[in-house]
Amino acid sequence: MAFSNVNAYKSTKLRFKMKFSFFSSLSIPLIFILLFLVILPFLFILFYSFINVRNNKIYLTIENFSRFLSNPDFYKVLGLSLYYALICTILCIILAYPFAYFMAKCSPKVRNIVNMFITLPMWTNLLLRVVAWKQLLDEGGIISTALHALGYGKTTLLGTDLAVILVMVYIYLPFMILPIYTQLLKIENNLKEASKDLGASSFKTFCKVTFPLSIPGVISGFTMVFLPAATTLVIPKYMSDGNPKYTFIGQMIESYFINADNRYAGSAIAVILTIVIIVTSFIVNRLDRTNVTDKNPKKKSTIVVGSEEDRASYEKQ
Amino acid sequence: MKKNKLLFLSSLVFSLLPSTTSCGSYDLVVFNWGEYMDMDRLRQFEKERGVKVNYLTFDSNENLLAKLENTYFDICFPSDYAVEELVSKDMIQPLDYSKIPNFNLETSLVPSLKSALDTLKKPTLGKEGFDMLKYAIPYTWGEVGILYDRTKISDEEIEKDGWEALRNPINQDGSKRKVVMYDSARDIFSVALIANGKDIVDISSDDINIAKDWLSEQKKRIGNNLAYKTEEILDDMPNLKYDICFTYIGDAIYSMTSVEDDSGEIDYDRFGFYIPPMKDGGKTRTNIYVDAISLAKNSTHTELAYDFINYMQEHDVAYDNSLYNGYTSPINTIYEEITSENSEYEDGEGSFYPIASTYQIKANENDKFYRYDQKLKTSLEEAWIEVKIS
Repeated sequence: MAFSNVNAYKSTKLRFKMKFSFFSSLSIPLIFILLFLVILPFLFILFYSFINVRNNKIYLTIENFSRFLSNPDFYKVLGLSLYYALICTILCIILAYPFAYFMAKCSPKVRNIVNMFITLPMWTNLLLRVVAWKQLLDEGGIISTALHALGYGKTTLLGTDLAVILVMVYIYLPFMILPIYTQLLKIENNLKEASKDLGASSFKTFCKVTFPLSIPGVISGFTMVFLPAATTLVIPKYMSDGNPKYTFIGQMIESYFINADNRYAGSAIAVILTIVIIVTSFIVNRLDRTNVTDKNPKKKSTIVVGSEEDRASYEKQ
Repeated sequence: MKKNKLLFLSSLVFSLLPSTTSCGSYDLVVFNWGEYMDMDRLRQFEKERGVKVNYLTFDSNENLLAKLENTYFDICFPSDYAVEELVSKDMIQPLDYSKIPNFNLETSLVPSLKSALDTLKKPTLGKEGFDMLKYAIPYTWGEVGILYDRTKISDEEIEKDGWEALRNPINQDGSKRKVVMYDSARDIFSVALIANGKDIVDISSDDINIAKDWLSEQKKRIGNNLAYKTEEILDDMPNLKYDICFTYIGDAIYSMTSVEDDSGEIDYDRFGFYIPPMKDGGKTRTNIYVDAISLAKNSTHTELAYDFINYMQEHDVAYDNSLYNGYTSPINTIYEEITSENSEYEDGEGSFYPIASTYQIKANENDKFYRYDQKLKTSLEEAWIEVKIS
């Protein structure tokens, strides 16, 4: 088995070499974008986070990190940002999964229409959508007036958990629906039919076949929602109604960079945040069992499409 | 002067469009605060001179400074410390007063403002003095005080407690006090420092810590009824969303002339404005500011720019502008005229009079300008972030 894997690796490499001439050259712009807009800026941030300037001299220092890591309030803000992002992500999964599931079951025509409706809000600028929500939730807005008429709560909903989380879920929901939906579409119908053939109920088929195979979609959805939600800047700014309780890590970085003109401290927060997010993504990716790279193949506890060798040994039996 | 949500939204939309300053078809590029000039007067200038003015707005000095660094401009309206920063960055030029005959350096200004600017010229506490009039002509001026809802907070309490009223969690009718503070390190720390009897120019790190504690304590006491906001305060106060805030006189006048009673009439008695006296042994009574007209160093239309500045000093133009934006005029004749009983205003002759006493600024020698100091700015901003997340 190991041998066949090596072969497969070699053949892809060969193909890559052959195609390099034309199609690969199309990726050169992408490489430049990655280099200049992603990698270099990040290296700069990393560099800034370890230096400080005093009397026009540059010092190498870890002061930028220690000032935050020794401040309990910093952990509070970091924790709060991750907490709200996590709640938002979980709510998105709960709402998006059934939606994506039924969407994948629809006819292609209906699918396209629904798909358009999901992406429709994204044609409007994020800021405008958030400001629109602000007007809906504020005193005199439709939602708060309706709630007030029913006898619930305050006149303005701004500055509450409800407002912050509601708008976060609204903004990020499409980023959860689409990856799950695409992943569900990719699942071959044969697998489900096979499961049913072997006597599994619809529910069991869902649990044992559909759901495990859709996990990669959920995970990429998680990354696409959790990361921006944890660093969100605009949403708390407009939804908090000035309540300092909703000061998140994104605003803190903004304050250090723009208001305090201290890019060194701001970079240090960004680096800390990046590390936290990388660790989180790593843990979440571990949950994806279909992504196992066959280093230590488990004893077929999951349904894995068998290799040639497996099939040969099976047929021998 | 009327701001509404639609304007706010449309300004958001337009702020997303790329700026058109680089467009070469304009004769003059002017940067001003939003809602700060009577546009009819600007159009009149364009018509009379047969020129086109590109009129651009900004919402904070920091925003202006950032824009000016990479945009061409002829005239801008920075505040006092921003003028100082622009001078230090060599972006504006000294004014030639012989080209501005409508303004007399010695007699035109309100005397108390003139003496405050003279004090600014003198070196204090190891800091060099700054001669602002050399680089800029005052356009409006004002001071920081407390704006409060008189149905919730009595005049006596404000007079007794002064700045501490911002930290009192209970109103006289027993309801919880809703407080809103400017989300700007410079403004909020000036108030916290003044409330503790500290100076706002010569600030030690101990002073900053005292101010920080004062603000953290306020956060604790007022709890969920405390908000940190920026320009929205201008809309929220007349809508009675909050009971008390600290603000500049011009903004206070806007609130006083916009708040309506149950029958839809303007209720001039609803809000009170008060500048607490200096604390015993204190160093500063309040923060005084001047927004001034400056001329760019690399302006290519200097003659037209001087013409514009001179036009701004014409009596009728300055009068209209001051009534339009509600900020106090630094020109003595206009200052006197507007506060007289017969001044014209939105609701006809004499309608400005009920708030004229607020418009009349009584500056004294303990009112100080905030100074440009990059290091101090950074430490105040950092302290402010720490207060916010505490």
